[in-house]
Amino acid sequence: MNRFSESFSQTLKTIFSDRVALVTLVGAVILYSFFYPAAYRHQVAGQLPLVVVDQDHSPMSRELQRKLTALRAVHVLGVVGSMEQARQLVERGEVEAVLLIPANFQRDILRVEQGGLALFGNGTLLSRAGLSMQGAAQAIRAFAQEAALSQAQFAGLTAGPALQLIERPLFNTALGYGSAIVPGVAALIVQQTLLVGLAVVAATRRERQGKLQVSLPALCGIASAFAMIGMFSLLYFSGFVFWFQDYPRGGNLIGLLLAGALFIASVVSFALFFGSFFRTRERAFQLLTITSLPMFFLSNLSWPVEASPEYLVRIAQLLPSTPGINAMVKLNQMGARLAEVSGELTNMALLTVLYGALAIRRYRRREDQFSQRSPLD
Amino acid sequence: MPSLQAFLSSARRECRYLLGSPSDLALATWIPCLLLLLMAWLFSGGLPRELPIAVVDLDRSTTSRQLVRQLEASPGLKVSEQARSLSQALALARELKIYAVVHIPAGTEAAIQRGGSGSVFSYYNASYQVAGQAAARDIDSAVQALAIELTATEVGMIRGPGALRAAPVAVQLSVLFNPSRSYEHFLLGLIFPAILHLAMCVAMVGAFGRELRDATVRPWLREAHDRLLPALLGKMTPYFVLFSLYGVASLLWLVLIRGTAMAADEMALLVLGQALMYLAYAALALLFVALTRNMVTALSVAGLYAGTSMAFSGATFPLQGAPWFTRVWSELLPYTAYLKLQGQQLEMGSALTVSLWPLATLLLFVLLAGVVGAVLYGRASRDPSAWGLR
Repeated sequence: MNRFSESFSQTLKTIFSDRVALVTLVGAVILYSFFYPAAYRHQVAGQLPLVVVDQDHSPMSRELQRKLTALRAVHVLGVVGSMEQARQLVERGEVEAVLLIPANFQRDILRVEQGGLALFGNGTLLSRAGLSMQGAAQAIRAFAQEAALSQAQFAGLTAGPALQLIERPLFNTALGYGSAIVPGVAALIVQQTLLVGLAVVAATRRERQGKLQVSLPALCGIASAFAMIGMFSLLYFSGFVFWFQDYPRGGNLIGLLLAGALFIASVVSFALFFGSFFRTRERAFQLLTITSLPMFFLSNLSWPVEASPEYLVRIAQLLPSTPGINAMVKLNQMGARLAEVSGELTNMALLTVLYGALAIRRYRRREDQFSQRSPLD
Repeated sequence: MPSLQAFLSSARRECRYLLGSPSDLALATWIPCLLLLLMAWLFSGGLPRELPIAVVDLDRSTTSRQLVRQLEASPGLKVSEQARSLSQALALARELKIYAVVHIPAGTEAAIQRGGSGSVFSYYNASYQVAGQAAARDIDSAVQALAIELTATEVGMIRGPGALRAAPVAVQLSVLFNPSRSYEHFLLGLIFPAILHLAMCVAMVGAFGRELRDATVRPWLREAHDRLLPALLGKMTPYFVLFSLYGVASLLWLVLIRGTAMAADEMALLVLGQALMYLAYAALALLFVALTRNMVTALSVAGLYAGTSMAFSGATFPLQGAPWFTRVWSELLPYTAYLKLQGQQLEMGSALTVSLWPLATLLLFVLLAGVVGAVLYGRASRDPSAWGLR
């Protein structure tokens, strides 16, 4: 117990006296917690900038244009004469969508046929097109129907559609883009800062002592110190940052604490094992900076697991971030019960055991029998 | 030609160093390539198909069974669960076994027969946005298809065909330029350059920062006859060549999965754009190292700046309506300019004149960051107090 607590406090001292470790474990967490959500501060994709191509030149098409300017979902930047002109505006990035009012729009409506409008989005910006276009299309449809109805009532009775669909988003009910991405990124930031912080401390020790031999109680002390800091960062994100950004949160608080502790445990074991391979302080920074983005996509938060290759899904489960991100989002945002994240919990528990055992092996190995191999310098 | 000699000697020295340092070599060679391959593999399924959904059929009528058949016929959906209640279905949604729930309330068919209109509900997972929205879109199409069918038959039978007319206005949604709506093409088009520019920036911070950290900057420059600019360019060249090659390979992959050929002049512009982007991030790496004089701090800055490019580029989420900070930051990233160029040349087949602006922006980054970075790095190279900082 003595060696444990000594190692625990020694590790904290090391972290707080090492500028780089401190900046990573505390500074980076706070900096990223404000910087990253800034990209999505406005949350919901509103105001799709579009131009109108009016080929009908009828009172009804002009009425529709007038009503469009009042819509919140779109921002009409003007009317152009041809699709070719509109296309050039899209190419230059000045507008993102084109609303085409085809010739005979008014005639079709007055003839009790269906007047067709076409909304073209920029397909090179697929997720943007998807997010804002559906909203814009719904608003345009509603306005167009109203406009058309008021002018076409004499044309006869209108039967509503026989079956109406009422859509309700679940969990992230404001449909925020930031609230769908940032909670996942937050778990990844916690993981990466812990990995870097631990690797920096381990590499410094190695630079000074030339080897990494740590007794089991001391290793537990190091692990606990880092786990404590990791838990603080995780709670800072799950509590303060998500509250500050007003993301959906607090769905299952007890579950979040339990799963969060397990996530941090798996990350610390992973970090102890991988941190032992770095011989210089800078190496971990380089490697973890460039692997963050792929790790995020491998978690399958932004890409359905059903559409991913099965082997790759299995490989991704070797990273703590994969179950961690999903468990955090499910518990905090979706309010899942513990049983509903049992897969992720098992995954994290197995990773803790696996990397914990590997780490113990690695730090106990005798220097004189095997020289410690370090492929990363 | 002392400048050329300086350039060549610096480039040779860097190659020798890389060959003697497996981990630095790895960060410039197989690691970025492995990351590209992993991402290409991840999205190789193309469109999300057969996303699992649940149906809560409380109506148990001919109409509701028709709707379930319609949903099952949609290639994007798989009705994997028939739940007895909405709460049971929502539990499945929380477990992530399904991405959406179609709820058909009791009395739907009766309502259609009586009043001409019934309502069904679609609950979709908005936390897992790509999957949830894709499922919601397909559910919407399935319901619309059935609605048209029902309007034509049942309502027509009751009220007589004369009363029938469709909704007065339909809005057809289509996309320009990426007609297959391929997420694979879209996402890889963002991810490939995102990984490569970040890896280039990190490798260059390592290359420039290492000489200050190890206080080897004087011997290195002496070897290059104290010609700073050729020495810096020579050091950068091995990385520049490697990453340009990866860039071209990733572009070819994008063209390949799209399935249609690409004009040579478009390809040439894109390769030029990639080259300028890597030069820009090398110049920025030089600037970061020169400003901080500390490799770890410069790496942190590079991580913050180049590691968040995708979020700030505006490619995944529109920046209209964003606060000024976000919009200005986005413009300060060479990646944003490159994506504009890539969209124009890879997807839209724009004219050269349209693409001159993003190319000029990239060039501006190279020159500004390069000149300031070189001047400051030159100062640090002469100032022993700037060496050996950790």
